[in-house]
Amino acid sequence: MSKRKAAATRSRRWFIESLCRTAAVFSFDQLVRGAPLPVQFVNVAREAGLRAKTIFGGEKQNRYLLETTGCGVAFFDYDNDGWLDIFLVNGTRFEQKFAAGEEPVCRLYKNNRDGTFTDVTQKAGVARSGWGQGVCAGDYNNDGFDDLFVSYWGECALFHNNGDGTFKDVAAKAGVTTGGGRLKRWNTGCAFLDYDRDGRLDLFVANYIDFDVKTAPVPEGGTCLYKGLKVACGPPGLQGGKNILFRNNGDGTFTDVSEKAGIWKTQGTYGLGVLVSDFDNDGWPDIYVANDSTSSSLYRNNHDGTFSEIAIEAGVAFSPDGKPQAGMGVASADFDGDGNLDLVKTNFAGDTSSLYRNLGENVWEDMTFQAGLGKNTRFLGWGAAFLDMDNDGHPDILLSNGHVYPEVGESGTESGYSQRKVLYRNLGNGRFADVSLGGGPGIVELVAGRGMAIGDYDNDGDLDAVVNCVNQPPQLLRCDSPAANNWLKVKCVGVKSNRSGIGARVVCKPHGGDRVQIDEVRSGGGYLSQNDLRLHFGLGKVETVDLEVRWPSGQVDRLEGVKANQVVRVVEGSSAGEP
Amino acid sequence: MLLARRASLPVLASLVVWAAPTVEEFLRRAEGFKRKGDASSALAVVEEGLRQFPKSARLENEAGFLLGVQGRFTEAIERFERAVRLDPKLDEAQFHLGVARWIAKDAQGAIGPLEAASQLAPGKFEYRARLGEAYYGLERYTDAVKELEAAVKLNSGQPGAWNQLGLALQRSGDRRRAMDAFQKTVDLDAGNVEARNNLGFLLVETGKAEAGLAQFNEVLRLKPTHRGALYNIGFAHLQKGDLDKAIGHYKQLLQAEQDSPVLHYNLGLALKQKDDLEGAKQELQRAIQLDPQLAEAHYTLGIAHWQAGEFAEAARQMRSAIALRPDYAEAHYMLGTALKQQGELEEAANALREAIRLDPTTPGPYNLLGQILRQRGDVEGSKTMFAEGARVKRMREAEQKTMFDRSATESVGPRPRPR
Repeated sequence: MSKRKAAATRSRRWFIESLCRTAAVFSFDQLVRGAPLPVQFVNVAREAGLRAKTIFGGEKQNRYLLETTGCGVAFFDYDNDGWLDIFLVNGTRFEQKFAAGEEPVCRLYKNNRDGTFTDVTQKAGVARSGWGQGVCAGDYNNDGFDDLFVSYWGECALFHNNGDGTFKDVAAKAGVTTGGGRLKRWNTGCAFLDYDRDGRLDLFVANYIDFDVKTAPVPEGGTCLYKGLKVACGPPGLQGGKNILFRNNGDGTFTDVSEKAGIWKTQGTYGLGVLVSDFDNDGWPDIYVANDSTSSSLYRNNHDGTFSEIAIEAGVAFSPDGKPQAGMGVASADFDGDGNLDLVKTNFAGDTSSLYRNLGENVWEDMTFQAGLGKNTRFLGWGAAFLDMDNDGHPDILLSNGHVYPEVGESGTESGYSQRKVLYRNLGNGRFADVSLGGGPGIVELVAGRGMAIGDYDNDGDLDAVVNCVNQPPQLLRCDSPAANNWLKVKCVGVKSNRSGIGARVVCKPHGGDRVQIDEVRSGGGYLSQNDLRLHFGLGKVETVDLEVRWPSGQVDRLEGVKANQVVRVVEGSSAGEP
Repeated sequence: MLLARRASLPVLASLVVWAAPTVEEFLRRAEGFKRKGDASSALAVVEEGLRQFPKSARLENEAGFLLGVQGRFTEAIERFERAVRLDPKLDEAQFHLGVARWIAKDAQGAIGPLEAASQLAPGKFEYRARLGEAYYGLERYTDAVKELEAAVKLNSGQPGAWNQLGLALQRSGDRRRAMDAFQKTVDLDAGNVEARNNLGFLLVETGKAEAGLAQFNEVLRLKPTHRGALYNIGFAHLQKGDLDKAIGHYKQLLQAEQDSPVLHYNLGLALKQKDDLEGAKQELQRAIQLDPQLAEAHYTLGIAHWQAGEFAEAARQMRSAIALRPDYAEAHYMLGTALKQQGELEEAANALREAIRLDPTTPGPYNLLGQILRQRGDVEGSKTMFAEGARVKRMREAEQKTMFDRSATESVGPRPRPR
C-alpha cells in the first residue's frame, strides 16, 4: 500500500470512527435540540392594535390574593366570518377610583383580516367592568353564533351573541350569575359542555375562594411572607370555593345541579383552570380542574347526570411524589399518539409543570421527568397549551409565565415578576426538548403573563397565541414559520349536537396511512381562556387525510380524501366537508 | 519553737491546742493559695485537713475541685463522688460532680448530680444554666429551655446563658423566641459573633433575609474570617431567590476553600434552584467525593437525577443517603418515588412504608403507596392509603390554619413548593 493510500485509508477510518463517536456521544434529543427551530414567535400586539393595558390590582404591590391571578383571553369568531377575533377579560384595582365611563372593561377586538384588529367593545356591548377572571365560548342556545361566559369575583356575565355584532348580558335571566352570599364567589375557569348529551350546552364554572375583602388577612399583618416579603395571603387558610355545574334547560335558562351531579364531592378546592375532554374514550365528557395548593380534581362522567371525582386514584391529582401542587392552567392533547388525551398543567414557582400520560381506562402516569419537563422549576406557570407549532404532527407545549407577587420585583432575569415563556418541542419519541431560547423574541420577552389562547388569527396555517398580561398590554405572538409542512383545520358544526360542535372528537389519519391524531372541540381550557374552536392538525408532508368525527349525539361522520392546507367545515350528519 | 512559745504561755497555748484548725480553717488556708494560683499548695492544705477530718464532704469537694483545676478529672470525680456520698445535700459537690463528669464526656452521669444541685439550690444561676446546657447536649431541648429560662430569670445579664437559651429554643422549633434570645445576647455582648450569626440565620430562615444579611455583615466586620457568616450570606441570597448572587458568592468562597464539601454542596443546591441540573450534579458529586458521609448531598443529587428522569441513579443516591442515615424519612420517600417511576413497585412500596413509619405526618407517601397498590390490583388497600393520605393532609392543613391565625410563617402566603 502506498503511503498516500494508507493515509487515505487512515483518514477514512478516522472519519468513520469519529462519526461513530458522535453517534455514541449525542443522543437523539441532543441532536434535535441542536437543530434550529423552524418557527419564530414575534409579539405583534402593538402593530395589530392590541394596545390597551389589562388592569389587575396594584403594579408594585397587592393586599389581596384577588389582585394577583389575572385574566383569561379568548380567540373566537363572534361574527362567523372565518377570522378569529379576540376577547380580553379585564380586571380593576382597589386603590384607584376610576371616573364613570373610564373603568377598565373587557375588550372585544374584531379581526380586520389584514393582521390588525379593531376595538369594537362599546359597539358590541361587552364593556363590563369588575374583577373579571375567565372566559369560555359556546353557542348555548344553538342559534349559530358563539356566546361568551365571563367569570368574575361576584356576579358573572353571560354575553348572548345577537348575531349582528352585538351581545347582551343575560346572566341574571339565565340564572348563571353565581354571585354568592355574604362571601362573594370567586368564579374562575369555565367551560361549556354537553355533559348529558342532550344537544344543549351546559356550563361548568370552577370556584377558587369564597372571598371577602373585609375579613381577608392582609400583608400588613405580617402573617404572609414569601422569601421575606410581605405578600397577599392565601389561598391556604382561606375558605375554598365550590365548583358549579349548570344544566341548560333549553329555554335560555340554566339550573344549578352541582350538588345533585356530585360536583361538590371532591377533596380538592381552590379551582382555577378547567378542561373538558372525554378522557376515558367512553363518549361522555369528563372534567379536569387544576386546583391551587390542593389535589386537582378529575370528574368522571357517570352517564346518568352525575360525576365521580377520581383524580387521586386515577393518578392526576398530585405531583409524581404524591404532593399537592399549585395548579393553574391545564391543556390536553394526545402527545404520544396512542389514542388517549393527555394533560399538561402549570404550577407554582419552585415546581415543574406536570405532564400526565393517559394510559386509558382512567389510569394515568406522571411523565413530567421522563418526558423532559423536569428541568424548569423557576417559572410560575399560568397559561398552558398544546400546539403543533411546526405542523409536524406532534403537539408541542407552550406555557405562559409570570410571578404571582409583584413584590418580588423585576430581577432583570427570567425569574422575577415578569417572566419569559417556556416552549417545549415534541420530539416524537415521548420526550420534549426545551427550545424556549430559540423560539423567537415573543417567547423570551419578559411579561407578567396569565391567560393564553391559541389560534391561527391570520389564517396562514400556523398557530399563533394571544396572552393576557397583568398591568401590561397583551401579547399577540404571531408564529412565523418558513416550514413547508401541511396542516388542516376542522370546523365542526353540530345539528343534533350543539351547534358549536363542542365535545366532538375528530380523528385525523393520513389517507391510506395509519398514524392517527385525535383532538376534541373544547370550550374553555388553558388558564381561564378559550382557544380557537376550530381544530388544527399538523400534517407534516401528508397531503390528504381521512377524518372521522364522533359527535356528542353519537353520530359518527367519516370524510375521506380531505386535502391538506384548508379549513374544512364538517356539518353533523354530512360526510362531505365544505371548505 | 512555736510549741516552746506556746508552752511559755500556758493559757493561750491550751486555747490554741484545743481550737485546732477547723474545716473552715483548712478551707480558708486553701483559698489563700488558690488566690495566688497555687493549686498544689491549696490541695496539700486540703489533704492535710482531710487527714484530720476524713468525713468532711466539703473538704472532699474542695480536693476534687483542686484536682479538677489541675486537669486530674478522674481523681476529681472520685473525690466529688465521695463528697456526695458523705453529704448528698451538699449542692456544690453535686454541681462539681456533674460538671466534672460532663467534662469527662459522661453526659448521662452528669445529669443526675446537676439536677440534684439545681433542686438543692434552685436559686443559683450557674446550676440552672449548666443543667440547661447539659440537657441541650443530650438533645433534651424542652428541658434545656426550661432550665435556661430559669437561669436567665435569676441573672438576666449573662449573654452566654441567653445564647444557650437561643440555641435550645431554635432546636425545639421556637424560632421567634430563639431570635429574641439571640437578640438579647447581642444586646448584652455586641461582639458575640456566634449569637449574631445564629440570629442572622434565623432571620433568614423566617424570611427576613435582608436583616439576616446585616447580621452576617456585622459578624464579618468583627471577625472577617468567620466561616459561618461567610457561608450564611450565600444562604441569605438563596432565601431571597437571588440565585445569581448566591452562586457567585459560593464560587468566590470556593476559590479560597476549594476542598470544602459544604461549599460545593451549597453551590450545587443553588445551581439546582437555578435549574442548572448538570452544574448541580457536578458540584454535588464533588461534595460527596470530599465528604462521602454527607447524606444531604446524596439526597439532593438524587433529586437532581430524578428531575432529569434518571430514576436508577436517583434511587442509587437515595440508597446511599439512607445507608448514611437510616432514619432519613425523606430519602426513603424519594427512593419509593424513583422506584415507582422505574416500575419497581414492590421495592417502591417497601420504601414508602418505611418513609411512613419514620414520618407518618407527610401525606405524599400514603398517596404514592395508594397508587402502587391500585396498580397492583389491591383496590381496598389503595383506598385505605388514599384515605390515610387525606387524613394526614387535613391534619396538616389544620396545623397550617392555626399557624396562619397565630404567627408569621413562610408557608402560608405562597402555595406549596414541592421541591
